[in-house]
This record gives sequence, C-alpha cells and structure tokens, in this order.
Amino acid sequence: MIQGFASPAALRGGDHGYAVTRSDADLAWLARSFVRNAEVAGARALYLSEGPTDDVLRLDLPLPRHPGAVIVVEAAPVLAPGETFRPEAYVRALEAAVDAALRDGFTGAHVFVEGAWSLSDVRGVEVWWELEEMVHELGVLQRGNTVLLCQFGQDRFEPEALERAERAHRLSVAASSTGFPASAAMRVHREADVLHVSGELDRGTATLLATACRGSVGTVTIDLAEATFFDAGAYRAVTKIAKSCKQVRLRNAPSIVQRVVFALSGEAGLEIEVEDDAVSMRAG
Amino acid sequence: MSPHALEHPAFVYRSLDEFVAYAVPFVRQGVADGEPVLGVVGPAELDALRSATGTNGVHLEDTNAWHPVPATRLRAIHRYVTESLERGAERVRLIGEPLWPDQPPGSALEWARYESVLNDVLAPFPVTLVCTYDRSRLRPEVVADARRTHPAVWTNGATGPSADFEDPSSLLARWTPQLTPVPSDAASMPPPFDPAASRAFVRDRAALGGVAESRSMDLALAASEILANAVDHGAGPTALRTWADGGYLVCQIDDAGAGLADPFAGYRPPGTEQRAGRGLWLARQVVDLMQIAPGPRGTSVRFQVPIGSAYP
Repeated sequence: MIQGFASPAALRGGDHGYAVTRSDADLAWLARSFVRNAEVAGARALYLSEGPTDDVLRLDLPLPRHPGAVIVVEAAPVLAPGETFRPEAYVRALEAAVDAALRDGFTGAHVFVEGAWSLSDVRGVEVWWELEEMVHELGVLQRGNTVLLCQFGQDRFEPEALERAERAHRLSVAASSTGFPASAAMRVHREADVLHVSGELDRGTATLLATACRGSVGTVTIDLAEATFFDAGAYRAVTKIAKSCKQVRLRNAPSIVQRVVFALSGEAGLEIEVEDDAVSMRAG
Repeated sequence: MSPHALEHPAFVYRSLDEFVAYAVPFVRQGVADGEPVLGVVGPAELDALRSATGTNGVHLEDTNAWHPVPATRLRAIHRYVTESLERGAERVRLIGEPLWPDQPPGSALEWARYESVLNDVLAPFPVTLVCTYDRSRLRPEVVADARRTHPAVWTNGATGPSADFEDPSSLLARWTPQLTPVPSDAASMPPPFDPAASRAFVRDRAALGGVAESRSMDLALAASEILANAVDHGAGPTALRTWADGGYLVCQIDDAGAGLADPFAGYRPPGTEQRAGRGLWLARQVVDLMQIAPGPRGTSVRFQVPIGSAYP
C-alpha cells in the first residue's frame, strides 16, 4: 500500500519503491536519475534488465566514476536461475548483491529491476509478485544503504497488474520525463491526516504532492518543516489542491514559503491567511 | 475624465516651497473627499507634508525606505490600491517619488520602466497617482523621461497633457537594458541546466561571495524561475554565470530564444495576468534588480542581490 511518494533523487537506504513509465524516454530518465542518486549515496547501482544487457546502452546511463559503481545484468538468470523462480534464490541474490557492494567499499546496493523480466517464460514467476508485497520485511533492505526499485512499463502490463504493483509497494517513485521532471530530491509521506514534505518542492516535484493529494476533500494539511525550497510551480500546485479540496493548510512553513506566498497571492477566488509559521488557503 | 479612470501625472518642481504649494492641497483634498491617501516622498518633503497635513487619514512613507526596489514598490502600490478599494474606497490618492540610484547599473532605467508600467497595471482602478520630480536634484534626462512615462505633466503652475507620452508597451520594447559584458572570470555552470543542480550552483556561489543565506535563497529562486521560463519560452538555457560586481552578486542566464513577446511579462501582479508570467513576477520580487536584454543570439536575463546584507 502506497504510503509515500519520492523523486528518484530522494531515494534512500531501506526504500522499496515502484515506478510506472509511459515511454522509453521515461525509462531512460528514471534509470539515469536512479544511477546518479546511487553514485551520490556512494552506493553501487545494480541494474537488472529485462533483456540482453546490450539493450541497456540505449538508456545512456551515466559513466561510473569508480570501477564497479554501475553493474548491468540480465534479470532472469540472476533472479530465477534455471528459468524457475524460487523465493530463497531471489532473496539470496539480493543478499549477495548487497554483500558484494559492501565488500567492494560501497555504502550499499541500489537495485533497479525492470519489472518486465517477469513476463518472460519463467516457472513460478507468480511468486515474485507475492514476494514483492513482503520485501520490506526482509532484512536485506536494512543492510547498508540499500534500495530496491521496480519499474513497470505501462504498455507492457495489464491495468490489474499495475494495480497489484501499486498495492505491493509502499513508495511510489516519479518517472515522467515530460514537462518538468521531478529531478530535485523530494519526498511526501502521510502520517495520520498530515502530508509531510521533505526536500525541494519545485515545479517538477510538485506533481508528487498533487498525486499524494488526489481524491482528498475538506482540509488538507501539509507539513513543510523539512521542505527546503518552494517556487511558483509549488505555489500553483498548492493553490490547485486548495481549489479542489476546499482548503489547504501549510504548517511549519519556512520563510521561503511565506515569501513566495506573499509575492504571488492576490488571485481571485482564493483566500490566503498567513499566521506565524502557517499559511491557509481557502477556495472562496 | 471618468471618475473611474486612472490619473497619472508627473509633478515637476524646483523647490521645496513649490512642492508644498502643490502637494499639501493635493493631500488635503484627498482627505476631505474621504479618499485613502498614500505619500511616499523624500525626507524633506516628508517632513513638510507631515507638519502641514498631520497623519490623520494620510499614510506617509520615506521613499528611500518604503520598498526601495521598483518591483516591490509596484507590488506595494498595487496592494495598497486594491485593498483600499476592497475596504470601500471610491477613489485612491497617491503621491510618490521614484528613486534614481546610480547603483547598481541599470537601476535608473528599471525605475523609468516601472513608471511606464504603472500606466498599465493601475489602468483598471480609480486612482490618482502623482509622481514627483525635483528638477533641482535630478538629471535633465530623468525629467525628460518623465514626460514619456506620464500622460500628463504639472509644471509651472498648470497641468497639461504630455506631448512626449509614449504607449507603455512600445516604450518598454524600446527601453531595453544594455548589459555590460560578462567578466571573463565569471563562474560558469556546465550544461545541462538541471533546476536543482542550478539552484545549488547559484547558492554555493552566493555563499562563497558573502551573500546572506536568505538572499542566496532569493537568488537561487530567481534563477530557478528564469531557467523554467527559458525552457518554456526561450528554446532552453544556454549559459548560467555568476560574478561579484560593485557590492552585488550578479547572476545571468542566457537562452537562444527571441525574447519576450509580451513586454509586460513579469510586471503584472498575480490576478491581473495569465499565469505564465508568475515565474518572472516572482523572480523580480525577490531580487534587487532584474534586467531582460534581447540580443541577436538570444535573450539574457541578469539579476542580482547585495552582498552581505539582508532584505531591502
């Protein structure tokens, strides 16, 4: 069950996320962002591809700055040796990847799995889907700086499969390369009735906040205590949420939020109230 | 003249006595008519107005301190007008003196552009805005420009239409900044200009240059908005450079586009223009000076914040 949303640059140790891509350009953007983030984190990027590793050349992944910092392998032989999926072999493969990364001096392994590998002719692959729902309970994600991201191409999977992928993961990762991509590091997570934003809320990452608020009605409370940036795109996203939900309360708003709100307020049909460290927007 | 129309004359005077002879009755008339009155003038004129009119019903400010940047002055005046009208005023009366600073370079031109923009931004409102020009202190070209930016001029005891007045949109298109060359030792960010990485670059350079943390964030915010604008309208950014100049940390973003189709882009307050101008409006609001210079190979946007000091 999705509990949070993140840009690829905000992925951190312990994350188990999924991303839906709509095009090859989306996949390339996501993969490059993922590898760059792994490098910044000092982790090894391990890319498990659906097909032959040469296919991954089209993604134009960043060149590794350190030997072994980016490794591309075909997924099926690693995750399902002998063309048969076995949970214990899968877990062992993940543990071996983390062990090897730590042994080689990396902070952990950031593992990217092209979910379409599961469409190949592998016996018992259905179990992989079941396992995805409980990966967060495995100790391997808690060792070192380890991330597991599964990517699903929208045109490769039935809607039911994509819904299942959504249910199986706690974290939804931005993967759109169109418009302004979510390239800054930003996360949103829900705690009780409050959405907590950390990192840079800008024109690109504001789409994550909009997604997190989809379907909300009444008053939406967004805690910005850990937000480090806020621009006109973020303001636009928040005002849209206020208009669709009736009211948004930005609490623990840092000074940049208040500065932007002060500069941009004045739109008809929106009442804005600024308190000490909070801003309320109400659709009028 | 319609009671709902904007009146925006320039008042050109030579002495404090002449100022008092015009401004005091102007302010008193506003108070008598029940109009909200805002006066933003120099210290000597401020003292004279205070002693002659008192403060009852009159809001007086020192022009050197009250939003001393064109973009924020525009915002403050617009807000004063709209809030006064929302509270029930039928007409709003203002008397204001622009600043004509020598530094940073380009400021005086931006104030002149601001004078022209006011004709557009306040056009929908029942406002009388008198802009004061002390001929004894100002350069002759500043007074000459006042005749181009004001539809009427009061001088030598009478108000008359200004024969030199120019339509603001054509004036803004003509009065574009001439930027000095970027120093060869300016710090240059390598492409691609990812927004988050560009912000980090600008903040790092600003911190190294001694800019206060809050103003570094302002500079990064402006850079981010201008980069976004370059992607939307300018065929993408081609260069991002920063350098220190005369007490300011300067940033310039170039793009390969032909420039702004709308000369008022970024000048009209939120709620009065299409949303596309919001980013440029925000950028103008958070820096001390922003200049947009179209050139043969694209458009350059130069903007700056002071080194070492907090908000103006």
